Formats: sequence, C-alpha cells, structure tokens
Amino acid sequence: MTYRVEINNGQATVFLEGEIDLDKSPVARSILLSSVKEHSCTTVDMSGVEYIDSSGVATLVESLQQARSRKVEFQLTSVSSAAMKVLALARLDKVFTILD
Amino acid sequence: MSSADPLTSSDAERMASSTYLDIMTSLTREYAVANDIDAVHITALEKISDAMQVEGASLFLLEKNDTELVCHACIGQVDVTGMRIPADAGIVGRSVQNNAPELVADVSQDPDFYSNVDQQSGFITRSILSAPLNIRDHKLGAICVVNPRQPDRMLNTRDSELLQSLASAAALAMSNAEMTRSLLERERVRQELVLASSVQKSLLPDCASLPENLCGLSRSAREMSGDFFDVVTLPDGKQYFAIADVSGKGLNAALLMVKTTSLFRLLAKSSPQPGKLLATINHELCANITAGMFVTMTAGIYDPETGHVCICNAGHMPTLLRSKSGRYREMSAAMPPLGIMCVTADDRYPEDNIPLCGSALYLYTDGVTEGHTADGEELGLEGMCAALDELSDENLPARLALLADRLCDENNAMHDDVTLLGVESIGAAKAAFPLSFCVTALPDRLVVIRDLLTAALSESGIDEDTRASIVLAVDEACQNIIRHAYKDVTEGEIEGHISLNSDSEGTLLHIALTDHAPEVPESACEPGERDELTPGGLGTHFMNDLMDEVYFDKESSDMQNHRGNRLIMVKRILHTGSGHDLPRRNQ
Repeated sequence: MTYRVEINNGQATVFLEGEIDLDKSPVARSILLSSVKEHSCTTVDMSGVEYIDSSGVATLVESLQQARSRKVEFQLTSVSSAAMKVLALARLDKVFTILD
Repeated sequence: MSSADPLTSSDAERMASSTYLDIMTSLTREYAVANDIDAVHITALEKISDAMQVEGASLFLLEKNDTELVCHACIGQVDVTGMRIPADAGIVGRSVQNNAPELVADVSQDPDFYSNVDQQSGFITRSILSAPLNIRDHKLGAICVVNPRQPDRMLNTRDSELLQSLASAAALAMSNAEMTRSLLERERVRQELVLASSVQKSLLPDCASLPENLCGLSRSAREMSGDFFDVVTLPDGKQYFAIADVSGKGLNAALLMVKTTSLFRLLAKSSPQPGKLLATINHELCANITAGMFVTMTAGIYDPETGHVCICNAGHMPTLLRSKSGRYREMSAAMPPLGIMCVTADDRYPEDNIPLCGSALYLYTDGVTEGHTADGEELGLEGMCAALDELSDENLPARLALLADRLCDENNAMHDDVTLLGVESIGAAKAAFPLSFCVTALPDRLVVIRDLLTAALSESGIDEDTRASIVLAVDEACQNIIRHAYKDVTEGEIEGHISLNSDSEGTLLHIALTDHAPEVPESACEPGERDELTPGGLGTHFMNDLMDEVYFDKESSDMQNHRGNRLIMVKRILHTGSGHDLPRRNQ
C-alpha cells in the first residue's frame, strides 16, 4: 500500500493505493486518524485500492467514529469496485458518505 | 675551547670529523638493515662512546604517550637498561623537554641530577651530556654520555655539538628503520589478508558449477567479507541454499563466516528442514560466539520435483518474492539473528513452504539495498526491484551479475560487501490444485497466500468475482489465526491445503487451514451479532457470507492427536456464468 495526502483550504484528501490488509492497515489507520484530528474534512480517495479486508474496513470505521466524535467530516470518494464490494459485504456502503 | 683540550690541532679536528662522519654513515646503514634493533642500539652507543672517549653512554626513548623515558640500551660500568624515569626528570628529561643538548660539566652543581643510580651502584658520575633525539618536531628521546675517560677532562661545548650531530643522525636512522619495519609489517599483514581472502573465496560455490535456476554471487568491498552464500545439491536432487551476513567487518567477521559456512555444509546433508538447520546452527554459535557478534541467515530448500521452496529466515533481510506477473512481495524474518538467543538444539524455527510456480525468490545482504550506484544514490529496495525488472530477459546468473555491477559509485568503488542469491522454478508447470502451502504466521505472509490462491484460481478458470470472494475468505481465516489463535504464541505456522473437485453440478473448492496454536472454541468461526459500527469482528462475517460451509475439523484422524486447529471452508462454484460472490447461506 502507498499513500499521499493533499491539503486544500484545511481539508485533506488521502489517496490510498494498493492493498490494505492486516499488514498495511496500521499505516492507513495512523494516516487517517491523524488527518481526522487535524482537518475539518478528510476525504479518502479509494480509486487505487486493489484490495481491502476486514482490518482495512475496521480502519475506515474507526476513522469515521473519530470524525463523528470530533464533529468533523469524513467521506470516501472514487471507491474502486473491489473495495465497494467489500464495503457492501460489510453492509457499510450506506454508513459512509461516498462521493462519486 | 680550553688550551688543555686535546682536539685543538687542525689535524686532530680533521681526524675527529672523519670519525664522526664514519659513525653517522655506519649508523644509517646498520639501522636500515637491522633485524635486532636493540643490538644496533648497543653498537651505536659503543661507537659514540669510543669516538667521544667517554666511560658510558645510554639511549632513552619516550614511551607511554611521551610521559616516560625508558632506557633501551646502555654501555659502561653500570647497566641501567630498562630504567624508567618521568619524561621531564633529570638532565636527560630536561634535554628532551627543551629539545636541546644539556651539558653539565660537574653534576654536583646541578640540582636536577638524578643521583639514584649512583647511590645504588656506587658509580660516580662527574660530568654528563645529553642530546635530544628528534625528527622535525617529533621527540623520540635522548642519547646521554657520562665522564670523559681522561680523569682530568670535563665534557665541553664541542662534545655537545658533536653528540648533537650524532644524535640527529641516529634519530633519522632510527626513524627510517621504524618506518621500514612498519611498512614491512603492513605488507606482511596485507599478504596474509590476500591469502585469507583467497581461502575465504574458495569457500564460496563456483558459480559455473551451480544449477542455472539457483545461483548467487558475493563481492567483497575489502579483502575479507562477512557475507556468504552457499548451494548444496542433495543426493535426491533437492537444492539446499543459504545466504548470511555476519555482524561487523574484517577478520573477526570473516572467521565467524567460515564457521557458519562449515556448519551449514555439514548440517545440510543431514537436516532436510531449514528451520531445524538454523536452530541447530544457532545453538552451536551461541555456545562460544564473541559477545556482540551475530549472524543473519536465510536457508532454504528447493525441490524441483514438487516445485516447492521451503525457507527459514533468522534476522536476515526480507526474502523478495517476484511473482510471475512481476509483483514483488517481501517475507520478513520470523526469528532473531543467530548467536543471540539460546534455544535447545531440538527446536525448529518456523518455515515458509510455498510453490514457486513461475515466480522467483531473491535473497540479498544489506550491501545490495544500501549500496550506492554510479549516480551516488542508494539503490534501495525499489531500485533493486526496478533493476530486476529491467534485467528480466537475462538468465538468472547474468541478471544477478548485472545487478551487482550497478553497485559501484562514480569512482567504481563498492562501499559494502554485496551478496545475492536467486531461485527460480524449473521443469513443467505443476497443476494449480491441489494447492499446498505452509507460511509463518506473520501479517506480511497474507499477501503471499492471496497471490498463490489468486493465481491458482485464475489458472483454473474461476471468474474474477468468485476469485475475489474466495481470496477474501481465506485471507480473513488466516488473519484470525494470526490475530487470535496465535495471540499468545511468539511464532507459529499456518498450513493450507486447498483442493478443487469437479462433478456434474459444478466445482467444489475445499479449503483446510491448520495451525498449531492452542485449541479455539467451535464458536470462533460463527459470526456474532453484526453491529454496523464496531471495528473488528467483520472477518468471521465475511467468511460465513462468502463460503458455503465454515467449520472446525475435530474428527479427522490426523487431528485426534494434533495440537492446534483445522478450519474447513467449502465453496461450491457453479459452472460458467453462475460463479457468485454472494453467499448461498447466511444471507
């Protein structure tokens, strides 16, 4: 997994790419949680996510929970079909704000 | 000069000058060819003593960071060889510190006179002259003469000038002799290192004799290397290989490397399990390794018949796996380096046993990824992968050699030892199923399992959605083993056996995942209440949603006495067009 963060007007877009599994989700967790802590809005661009497992999904859920408790925005965008299928399987596709 | 001085006539002066020149020439010659430097010191003092017509002479040299003057040679009635005095003590010390001759015509008038020797020996020093030995500003010590042989003569300024001239010549001769000895010693050590280096290189396998699918190279930045690789073909055709890096550099590291190589060669013939072999080497090294030294090592066996490679990594750089499609995966070390932690010889380190099926393994030392290329940049893992991609059309030996060629800086110098080993599969491709593997229970092995399974399912014509579902379910099951079953265990393995059987209805995929962890309750594979916003706990839902059956096998005969758990997952895949990633049960 690789990542890149773009900041624009205090809003962060985190581009996650590759495979987010048990080995790599701790890195994703650290990036997303610190982004949620520092920015009023964090958008996760998941167009490059080839694979995500339950640990990756749990990372997204935890980040969403943190955002809600901090009253900041957390949303997903351009979710790849591979990732969308797993979110749907977890029945979380309606829980996240997902932008096209 | 006094009228009593016997050297007042011009004839006498010319004779004296000629004598002193002879002494200077002879000092230079004798020091240059000296084997026994102490004997030459004595000869020099004898010549000086005779020329100056004195009763005794001694040579003091500075030692212990110039804090002490030690008498290295002495002639005369009293032998003070070996005597040590502070570097600034007595008349000798004064001449050394002032870097100038000290002439004391009557020692009884000089408070600095060091009278201990006279008191102990009964010798009476009347007159003393000390001249410093130095090369430019570097002080070596002093030559000291005492008492003219003629009782009525006192040492005078002319004696002082003459002794200083002789001392200067002696200092130069001694310094040159020391430099020559040092150069000879350095050359001797260099020749020994060249010899040791050639012995060490002879321990590496001859690349020309290695099988084309399994070869390596080792290039050392200095004469001696702490790296090694080895390949041993066993009588049954299996290929044993190893790569290692000994901590530190130089002779110590090289000697430990030789010991480790010998142990590998010896044990490879009798220990068909790399995990057992490394545990045994660790045991041997721990018994008498020098504190602070250790060995990082990966050992493995490639079986051309099954196409499987089995490796074990003790603290070495991650093993790089390049899949047939060109993706790179890293498999990190499961155990600490050898020689650090004692275990019993019966222990076996965890192994990774996977089919190579068209992929390649690269093992390397840190000199590869940390090596600098001609542009001055560190190669790094990414650089190594990019280079291997660029060289993918080359055969394995050429690929490794060309990669190593890149590890020279702009001055064509290597900064560290470079050792590389590559393993490729040979023979006809094996059937995708049954797929068997055994991996160390570490998170970075999950992607290796996913790759193996994806490739096998793809080769068997399973559609992409179904493939993704199966791969996710297996990944989740393996995650549970790592996170939960092995949570209180430092190391373990996951064994997988996956088979695909077709019948009239379609295809049945049978997955068995076995661990050696403490027994987990039957309920561990049953999904709990689904809470939309609870992180974790999703994995079991995924497995149950994606597979037709998920259960623990407690009944099979081999599980009766087995410590551990075996999870079975079954997936029925309908014929073309009906593969589904949605569950048949538990929807």
